[in-house]
Amino acid sequence: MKSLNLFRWPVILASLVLLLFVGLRSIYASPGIRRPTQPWVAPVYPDYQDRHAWVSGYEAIVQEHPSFLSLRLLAEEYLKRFREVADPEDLLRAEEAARRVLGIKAQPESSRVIAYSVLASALVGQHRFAEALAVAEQGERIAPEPLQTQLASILMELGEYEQAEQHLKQVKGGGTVQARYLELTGHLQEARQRIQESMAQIDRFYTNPAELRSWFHMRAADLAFLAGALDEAEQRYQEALQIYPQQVPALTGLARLYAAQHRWPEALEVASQGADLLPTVDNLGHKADAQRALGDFEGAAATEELIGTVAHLGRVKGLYDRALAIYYSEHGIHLSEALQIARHELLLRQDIYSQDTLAWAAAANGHWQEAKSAIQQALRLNTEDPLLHFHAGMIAAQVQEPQEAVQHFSQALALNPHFHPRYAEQAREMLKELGIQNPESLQPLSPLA
Amino acid sequence: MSTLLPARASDHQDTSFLGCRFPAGDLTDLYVFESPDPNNVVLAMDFDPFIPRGADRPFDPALLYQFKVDTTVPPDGLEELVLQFQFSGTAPNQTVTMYGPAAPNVAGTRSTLLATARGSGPVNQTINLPDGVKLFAGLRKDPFFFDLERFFEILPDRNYLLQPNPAPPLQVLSFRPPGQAMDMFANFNVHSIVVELPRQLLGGGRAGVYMSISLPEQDFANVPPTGTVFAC
Repeated sequence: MKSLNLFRWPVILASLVLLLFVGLRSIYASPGIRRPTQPWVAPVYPDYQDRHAWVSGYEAIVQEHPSFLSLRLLAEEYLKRFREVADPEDLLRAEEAARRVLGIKAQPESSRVIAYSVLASALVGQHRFAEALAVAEQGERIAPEPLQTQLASILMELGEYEQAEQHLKQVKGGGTVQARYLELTGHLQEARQRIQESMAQIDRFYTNPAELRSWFHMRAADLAFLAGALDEAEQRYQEALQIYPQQVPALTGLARLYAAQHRWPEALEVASQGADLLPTVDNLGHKADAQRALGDFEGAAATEELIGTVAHLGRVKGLYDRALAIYYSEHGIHLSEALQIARHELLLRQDIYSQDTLAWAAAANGHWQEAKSAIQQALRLNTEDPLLHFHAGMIAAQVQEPQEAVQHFSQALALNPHFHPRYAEQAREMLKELGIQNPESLQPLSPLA
Repeated sequence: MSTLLPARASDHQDTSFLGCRFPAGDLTDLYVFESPDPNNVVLAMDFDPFIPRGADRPFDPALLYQFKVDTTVPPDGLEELVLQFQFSGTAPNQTVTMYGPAAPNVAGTRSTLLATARGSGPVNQTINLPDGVKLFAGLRKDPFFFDLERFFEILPDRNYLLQPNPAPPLQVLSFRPPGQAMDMFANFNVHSIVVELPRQLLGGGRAGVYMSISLPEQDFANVPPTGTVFAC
C-alpha cells in the first residue's frame, strides 16, 4: 500500500513556491508578451490508450489468418502507433505487413491502393523518399485519386514542387498537403487559413484519433509562429498537448517559442518533457540552450553529449541528420561534420530545408559561394520562413550584397520579430550596421481573422 | 411485413475514404426480420467494422443514424417514417437517444432531427422504451459471413492485370465447401443499432427499409488518412 511521506511535503511546498516564483519571473521577464488563456478543446477520445489492444488484437488475427484484410489493418495500426510514440520499429513492421498485403493477389483494388499508401507512408517515415515515390506511383496507376495528395507530399520532400503542384491541382481540398505547399511557396497566410479550416473540421468528430487532431493544432501553431502570431502559436501548442499530451513535436515547438521569447525556465521545462518522451536533436538542443541561458553549463554540456549519442543512433537509421547539422552550425561546433551531413542529406532529400541546411552549414564553414547557391535554391519559392531569410541575409552580407541582406533581414523581422533567441536580435544589429536606423518599425504580418 | 425483392448485400470499407478516414461512418449491413414475437419486427444496422477482439471505440455524437422506411405501394424510394439515433457523452459513459418512428421533417438525402425523443439509455445495454420498443446500441460480433479471399480468386477485381505478378484469372470457379471456407469477418466486431418494435409502429403493411448516416456538412478532402506519416 502506498503511504504518504510527510517529510516530502516541505520539499513539495518549496517546489511550489519556486514554481510560482519562476512562473512570475517568466511573465515579468518578457514585457509585452501576453500569456494566452487556458485553451478549450472539444471532447477528445484518448484512443492512444487503447492502441495496444488494437495492435495485439490485429496481430492475433493475422497469426490465425494472414489475409489481405487483417494484414492491412495491422499495418495501418502500426503507423498510428508510430505517429503516437515514434518507435521506428513500427515503421518496419508496417512496411513488412504492407508488402505482405501487396503480395496477395486475390483482393479488391481499393484494398491494394490503401496498402500502397500505407507502404509509401512507412517508407517516408524512414526517409526513403525515392522508394516511397515509386510505391505511391504504383498505387496511382490503379486508382489515381486517393494517392494524389500523398504523391504531392513525397514530391515536395524531394524538392519537386512543380510536379507536386500538378498533383494537387487534381484534387479538391487536400488540406494538409495543400497547406504545406502554400506554406513553402510564399503563401503563409493562406496556409494558415487552410490548416485552421482543416483543424476545425477534424475537431468536429469525437471519434477522430487524438494524435491526428493534436497534429492539426500543432501545425496551426507552427505556422502561427512563422507569422509572428506568438500568442496564437502558444495557445495552439497547448491545445495540441491537451488533446494528445505526448505530442513531442508540439513540446519541441513550444520550447522553440519560449526560447525565442527568452522565457527560459518554460523552455527548459517543455524541452525536458519532450526529451523525456523522445530524445531528439531538436528538443535536446532547446534543452541545452535553455540550460545555458539559465547558467547551468554543466547540465548543458551533458545534454549536448546526449545530442551526439542520439544523433549517432538516429544516423544509423538515416534520421535526425538535418537537425544535427543545423544544431552544430548554430552553435559553431563540429562544423566540418555539419557540412558533411548537410551535403549527404541533400542527396536523399532535395527540399528547401535541405538546401537551407546546406547553406547554413556551408556558411558556418566559410564556404560562402556554396552557401549562396544553396540559399538561393532554398528561397526560390519565396518561402515565408524568417529563419531562411535570416540565413539569406547573413550570407548576402558576407558576399557583399548589402541590398539583398537588408531585404532578407527586414523580411525575417517583419514575419516574426521573435523568430529566434539570438538571431532576431542579430538581424536588428545587422540592419543597423547596414544603415537601417529603425528596424523596430518593421511590422509583423496581420493576424488571421 | 414483406419486401417485393429481398436485398442481400454487404459492403465493408466501401471506399478507401471510409476505410481510412472515417470508419464511424462506414455502414456495413442492414437486417430486417420477424421477431420470435410475431407482432414485432426487428431492424438492425451495422457500421464501424473491423474492431478486433478486446478493443472498442466510442460512437460519434456528431452523426445521425437512421432507419428510413418507405411504406408506399408501390415503393417510391422516399421515406414516410424514420427511426433516428443519436449518441451523446464521452466513453465509457455514452448514451443513445431514439427518435421516432415518425414522419421525417424532410424526406430525402438531407435529414434533420425529429423534435421529440422516444427515450434514451446507456450503450451496450438493452433499453426498454415506451410502446413496447426495445433498443440496443453497442458492440457485437460482425454477423456477416463471407470467404472474401476466395471470392476474389473466383472474380478478380477490375484491375487484375495491374497487380504485381499477374496470373491468368478465373482458374478458381467455386467457393470452398463448408468446413474449408474461411469467414474473413469471423474475428471482428462491429457497432450495431438493433430495435425491436411492434409492426403497427411501422404502419402494419408493406415496409421497405434502408439505413443512412447523416453528418454535418463537411469537406473531408482536407482530412488525411489516419495512418498517414509525414516526414519530420
